[in-house]
Amino acid sequence: MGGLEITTTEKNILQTFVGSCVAICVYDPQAKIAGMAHVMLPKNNSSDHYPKPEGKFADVALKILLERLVANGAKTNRLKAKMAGGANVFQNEGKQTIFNIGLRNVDTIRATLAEKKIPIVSEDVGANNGRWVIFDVNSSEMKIKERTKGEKVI
Amino acid sequence: MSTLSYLSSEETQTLNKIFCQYITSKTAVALSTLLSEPINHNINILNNGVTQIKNITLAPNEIKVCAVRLNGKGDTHIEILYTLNQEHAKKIAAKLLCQTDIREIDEMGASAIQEVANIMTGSFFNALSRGTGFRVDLSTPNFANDELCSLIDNSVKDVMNLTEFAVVADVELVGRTSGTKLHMIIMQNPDNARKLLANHSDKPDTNNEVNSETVVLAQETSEPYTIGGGNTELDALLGDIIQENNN
Repeated sequence: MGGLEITTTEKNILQTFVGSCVAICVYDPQAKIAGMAHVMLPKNNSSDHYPKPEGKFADVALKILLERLVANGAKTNRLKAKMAGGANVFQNEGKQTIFNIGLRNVDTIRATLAEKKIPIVSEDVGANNGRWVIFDVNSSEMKIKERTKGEKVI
Repeated sequence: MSTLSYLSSEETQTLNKIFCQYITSKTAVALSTLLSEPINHNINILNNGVTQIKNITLAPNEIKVCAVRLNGKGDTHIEILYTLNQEHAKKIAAKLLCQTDIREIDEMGASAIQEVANIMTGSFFNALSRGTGFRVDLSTPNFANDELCSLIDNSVKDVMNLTEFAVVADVELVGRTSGTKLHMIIMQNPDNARKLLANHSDKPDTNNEVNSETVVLAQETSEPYTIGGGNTELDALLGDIIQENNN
């Protein structure tokens, strides 16, 4: 959790399990390079500009992802994004609550990517259950497995 | 630092009741939702703290356990260690990963179990915050596969010296249908335990509409907490809400 990883020639698949966290994948389909961050919270409000783990805060995670992707040969004008997660897992806290951290993570990621003009090609967010998220950089497919809905590809 | 190390039996009983309230109202409900089955729980505040839990006789398949370590730091410092034996860890991971069974806990299985621990911890500290007004920053979960004694030592050494007395609550949570069992071991030093006892008050838990609920929460946070410290992550979230309400 809070992890951040970029594909390599040996590692084409990025995967993680998310509840209220969001798995955000940014990729260059032409260069066949991708990065995934397991985002837990929307904003870094600590005094540390590069807190660990790197993927924990959406704003820091997206900054680092883009830097690393470009450093490894991706072109910013070709970048696309897919995301999954952001479930309302603290549902017993009340009907609507500030602790709907899932929604806040999703909103922050959407806003940040819009600023950087990176289109979110597809997403599977919200609802109430955790998701197993698997991204294959060769096909650019994101496979999602969820307990009540089974498997889907976005 | 308090001159009294051990909690009195009255203090222990009250702490047990408070934890029971937090677990019943939030943590067990969160786990029940994740596993889609009702959960029974049982809390035991150990008289002899760390020594007692390390001296528990374990079956051979329980000496090495899957564990997730988390903590909350800020107005208090509480360490939480979740432990499960390998079989139950595989059951939980398989359920969340939509598989009938899994042969071993790999990276994905560990990720799923960490998420369970993260959600349960968030629920617990939400209940603690409501009950005491405490604000804490939660750590990122750390998964480990190790002997129980080593895991306990790693958690408790951040709370206090190993030679001192730690207040340890062992919460056993069991899935009524599957029999899946996990332990939530809550550790703190006696000063923080007494601080919790002194600050806890029973408040009604209301399910109001979003506007009135967020306004109430926003108003509460505009008053200074009597206990110092801060929670930068929670402040960021609350700041957004207050700004939205003012717009």
